[in-house]
Amino acid sequence: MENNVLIDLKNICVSFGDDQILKSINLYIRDGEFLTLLGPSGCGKTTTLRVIAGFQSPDTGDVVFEGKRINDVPAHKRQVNTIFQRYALFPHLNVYDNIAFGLRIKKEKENVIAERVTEMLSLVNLKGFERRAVSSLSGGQQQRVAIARALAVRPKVLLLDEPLGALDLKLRKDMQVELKKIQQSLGITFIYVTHDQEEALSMSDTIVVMDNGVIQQIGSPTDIYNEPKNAFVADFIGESNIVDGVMLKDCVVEFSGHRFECLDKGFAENEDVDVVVRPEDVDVVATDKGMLKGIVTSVTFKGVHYEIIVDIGGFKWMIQTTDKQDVGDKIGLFIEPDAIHIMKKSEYSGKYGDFSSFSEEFDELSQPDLVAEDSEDEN
Amino acid sequence: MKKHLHKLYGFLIFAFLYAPILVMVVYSFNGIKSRSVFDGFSLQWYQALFDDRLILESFYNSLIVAALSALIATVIGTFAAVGINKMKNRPKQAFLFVNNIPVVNPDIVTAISMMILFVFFLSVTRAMEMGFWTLLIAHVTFNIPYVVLNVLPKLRGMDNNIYDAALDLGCTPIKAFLKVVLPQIMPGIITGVIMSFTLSLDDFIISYFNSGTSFQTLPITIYSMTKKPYSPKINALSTLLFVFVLILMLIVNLRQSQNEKSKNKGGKVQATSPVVKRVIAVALSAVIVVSCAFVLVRLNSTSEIVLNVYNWGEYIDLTVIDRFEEEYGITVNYTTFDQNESMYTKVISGSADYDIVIPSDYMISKMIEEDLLAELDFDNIPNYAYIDDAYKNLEFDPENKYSVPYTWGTTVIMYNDKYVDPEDVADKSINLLWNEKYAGNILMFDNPRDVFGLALKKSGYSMNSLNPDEWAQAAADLQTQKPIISAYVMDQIFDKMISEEAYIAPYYAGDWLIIAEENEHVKCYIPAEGANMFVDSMCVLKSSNNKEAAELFINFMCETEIAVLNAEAIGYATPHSGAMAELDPEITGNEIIYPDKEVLSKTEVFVNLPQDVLTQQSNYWIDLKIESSEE
Repeated sequence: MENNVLIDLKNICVSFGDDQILKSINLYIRDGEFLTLLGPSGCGKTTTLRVIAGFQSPDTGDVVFEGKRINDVPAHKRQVNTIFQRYALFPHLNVYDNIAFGLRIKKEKENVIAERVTEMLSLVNLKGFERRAVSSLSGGQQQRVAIARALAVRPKVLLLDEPLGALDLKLRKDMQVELKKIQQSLGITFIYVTHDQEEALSMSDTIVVMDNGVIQQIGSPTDIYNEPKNAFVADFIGESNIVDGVMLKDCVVEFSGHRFECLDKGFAENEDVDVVVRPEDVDVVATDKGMLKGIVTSVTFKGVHYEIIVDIGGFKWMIQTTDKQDVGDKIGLFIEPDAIHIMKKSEYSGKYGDFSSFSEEFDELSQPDLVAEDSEDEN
Repeated sequence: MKKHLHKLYGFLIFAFLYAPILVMVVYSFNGIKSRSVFDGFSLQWYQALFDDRLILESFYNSLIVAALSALIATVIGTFAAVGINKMKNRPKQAFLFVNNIPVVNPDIVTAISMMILFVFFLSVTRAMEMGFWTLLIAHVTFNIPYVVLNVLPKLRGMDNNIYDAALDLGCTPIKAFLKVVLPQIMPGIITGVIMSFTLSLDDFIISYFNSGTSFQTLPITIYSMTKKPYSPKINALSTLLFVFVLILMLIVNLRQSQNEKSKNKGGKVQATSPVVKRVIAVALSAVIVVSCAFVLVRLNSTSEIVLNVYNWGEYIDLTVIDRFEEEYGITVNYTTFDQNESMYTKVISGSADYDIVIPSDYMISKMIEEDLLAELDFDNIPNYAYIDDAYKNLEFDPENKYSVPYTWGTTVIMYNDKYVDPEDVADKSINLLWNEKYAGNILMFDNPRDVFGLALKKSGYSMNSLNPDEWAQAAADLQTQKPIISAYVMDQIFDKMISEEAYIAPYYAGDWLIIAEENEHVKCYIPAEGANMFVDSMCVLKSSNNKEAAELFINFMCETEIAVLNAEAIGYATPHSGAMAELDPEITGNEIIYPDKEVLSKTEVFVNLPQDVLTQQSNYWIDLKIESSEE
């Protein structure tokens, strides 16, 4: 393990009654890293965060901070601070007193506090808001106060629990940039919980994809996107067509009744595998030039491209193309070797990557509020 | 048009809610003692209020119990609410259910069950007696659910993460609770305190059963005053209480609306000004200091002799008690009741520990039969010699071993000489109450013993008759009388006679004096057929541990000077020959209050009737009353 490991979670298990929320989580977090816990509601990401913060003690396993086991250190003595989903500002205090709260608990001198609060307010662009009541602020402003309040006590690690979940899209994008900037300028560790894969991809150094209390994959955003370990990750990060295939030998795979060249090696001969093809990596060509042939069943205009669903031998593929197609058109598909990613079979095989029931699935993912609501039940 | 209707509706609701209070406030400044006529502004009832030691003492008791129980219940209730809020759903529902039962439970059930528990516990442990402590525990207990109900919604409405956030920023759990949770739920806590305080202040039933002998709260004192003619002192007291509660509510509401205003404006948070904070802190610590001092005094005062005296409301000159305490160094706990029956219930409940009670004749014979009274040692009561022989050895205590007469009087028949022809009253007969000429303007007592007493005497029978035929005739007579009766009432006789709503009514001689003072046309006579004579006598309970001190007190009450003070304060006749001699001849010369021997010889004292006669009486009474309400 590297030297600059700050937090190390070893075999963490948490259950609420009969529900196993975390099933033996192993994870280390480096100093100064922007790490994101990503997963659908109920996957255990918020619980993991609460274990680190000290609000939840694990049933088994160790929480190690700077080489010391801190399982028994209560929340108020840990050098981590949290940004809560709904900010959790103290409504009876004004902006200044909210930010000064942690410092006053530490019995800092008032002049030190004043200096620090001013510094924090300029960091989050809220100069001049000192005497305002927090209830008079907008959601975005409240979020900034929450960030300033947590950072004022100079934590080594900032834990962020879906901090942007309640903001509208535009504000969310701005705050993503701002948070990343703050993290880089302070150089402290951020552990960020979200169910929004785009947010995770654009901000993180490391992404931890979780489902059902188990870590599915840890890696950089590009690794996670390009080399998903299983059908769950492939589907959760971006859009994926996932089909059953057979690895005939190294760099040759057969699926949908056609033999493809690919770049993957190291599988047994004739091993059953899952094949991932991203919708943007498929070229639409004339039927006679296509490796696969299908009929267009639906077309949606998305601005940058069209999103079309193609029926190939009963399996529905999603393809993103800039050429307009019409429903009922017969088209050919062409796939380059480097567009094909091979995964070992897993418990998730066959559950994802077919777009027959596309619309419902999309609906579910496009309701962040609903998801945010659900994820609270983990606590 | 619609708008006007809305306004009218609103006005009616407010009028309905506040008119009674307004009338009460106005009459508290009335120059005369009347509930119907306002005669000039005066502060005399406030003066009288502050001169009444019993009221002030019980008011003080009520305040102490209310303040202490509100504070304790609020602390316990707040912690309980925090605990309940943290529970999982199912135990939480169970706890809330359990918490809500006392709120919907009838007070009487709570009161009696607590009393039984206390009596049981205290009789086992012999730790102490019913009194301040049991009352305090009872009040704390019934206040807790209300605090929980007020605090819990505030906790539920609070973002749970706020507590976590405080921990996160370095607070210990206790600090996080004090600095963050407490300010959030403070409005609920304040409502809880105020609600507990007012509930405790005006609780009657639970206090009545759990206060034992030595401790009387204001509602109990007021209730015991209702037997006697209603005193406008109560108006003054209620007005003061109303203003007090009004100020409390105003402070709370003003604070709330101020906070909301500053929030809505999006302006600066208005921190409570340091002055207000200091005032609140000082007031709170004052309450706590006074309460603690009070508690300490109570703890220390248990060693000396304490005499528990249980008397009718407004039935003594209260300075007499001070004088007795000063002279003998014995503390007197003076508490009051409104009816013989309620006194009796309390005595036999086991929750009380009285030394001296002052019941009426028939109740005395009942208590002698049940072996509740102690035989008096008359060597310790030399002043017994002053009691006129006419009041000794009466039927209820034939050998006069148990009682020393305190006051007496007769029933009289009152009439208004503006409406009643002189020839109708010439024979001074009970038959006036049956005279159809005055149909609709005749009142009757609203208690069976007095009503049947009159009916029996009308036919020349004994008021203590044991003959079923005589009772049957009395009942039949009452049925024929019923159509001409305007109402069966007790206390209202005062107002109805003064305001000339009714012309004829029976009542007690001492009370006629008060009515005649207000309306000079109301005259009266003692019925020639014979009247009821009632005697209220001082007795010592068999369970008393301070019999000698009790006899000392009785002897003191029979000192001439003291008897004069009491006779003047009460207005009823005194059996004390020494006092008779010293009293204003205008009073002792009054033939109604002090009738001559001949009239007296025809009067009869109630004795306790056998059970079968009582049952019969109550059946006849129910028949009479039920049909009367059908009409």
